[in-house]
Amino acid sequence: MVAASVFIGDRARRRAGVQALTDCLRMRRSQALRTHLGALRSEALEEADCAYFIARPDRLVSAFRQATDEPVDDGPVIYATLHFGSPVLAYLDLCRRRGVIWMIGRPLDAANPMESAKLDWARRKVAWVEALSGRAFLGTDAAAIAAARERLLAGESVFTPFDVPGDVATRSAAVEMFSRRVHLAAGVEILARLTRAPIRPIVAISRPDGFALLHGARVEPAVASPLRSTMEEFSSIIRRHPEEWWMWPYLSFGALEVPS
Amino acid sequence: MSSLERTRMVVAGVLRVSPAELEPDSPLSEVTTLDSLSLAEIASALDDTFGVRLPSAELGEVRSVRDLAELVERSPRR
Repeated sequence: MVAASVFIGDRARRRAGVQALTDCLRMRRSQALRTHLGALRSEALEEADCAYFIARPDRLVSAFRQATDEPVDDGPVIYATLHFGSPVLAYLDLCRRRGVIWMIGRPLDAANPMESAKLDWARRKVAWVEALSGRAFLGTDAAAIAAARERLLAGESVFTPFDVPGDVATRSAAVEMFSRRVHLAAGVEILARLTRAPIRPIVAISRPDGFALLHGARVEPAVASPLRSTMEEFSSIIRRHPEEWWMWPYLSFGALEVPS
Repeated sequence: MSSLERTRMVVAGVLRVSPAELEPDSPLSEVTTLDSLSLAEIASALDDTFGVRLPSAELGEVRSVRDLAELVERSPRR
């Protein structure tokens, strides 16, 4: 219902999402409209799922499906995720499987641009995730990134969004995505190089019979461009499930181009 | 070369400024724009140069090259 009302009511977002889908995936307009609605539904579904599991924590563990091709990782890993499917539940499932994983996320402080009602809900959700994972989120400031580096060097892992537009980061890099040049925040790549930790692309999708983790191949920090290689892995996942990527409606590829 | 001088050289290299611009006691933020990744990059370069492991909890407190040099001195060797 939320997705449908946004689909109908937010014409600018719908236009941007459909444009991105037709340009990048060569979809027909009708298919792009359905995919855009699916992306809105995916985003709304994560909020609904989190609200449900906050109210019914006993249901959470049984909701995680046994992955048939579970990523096998040992040692420190930078788990990079997308605004796709259920990022929060991907994080919790990984914590369940692998133990200590530190989330790098933007703090929900006064500087956060989220509107107040959404911010209140986000704070509640973060408190829930921190309680379940047993770890406070690392922020995104200098001290937090230094702490993330230290944790990786100590053999632990971190989890962080990858599809952060370059214009909201202090350092960005251009990569190709669906034959288009986009700028993304470069923090994941720099952290990988500083710590020699591999990047594992990972997302979770919600299905009627539970949540499933999807992952790409590990990207080693020594490759020519870890950012580009990670984007290639994610592009493959996005092509298979375009209706799960929330960024279609939010980002036009033109907007991702920022002055260097 | 003193450890303060070596620290200054390393930090200058990471921040891509001339070592002469880095007065030992001047705040690093007055010399150049620092972003959220700069501190981690400085820490990494100092770790490699001195064979130490700078603790992140104390890294957040450093303001100058001298602070960094002192932190290197008291950091555990690898």
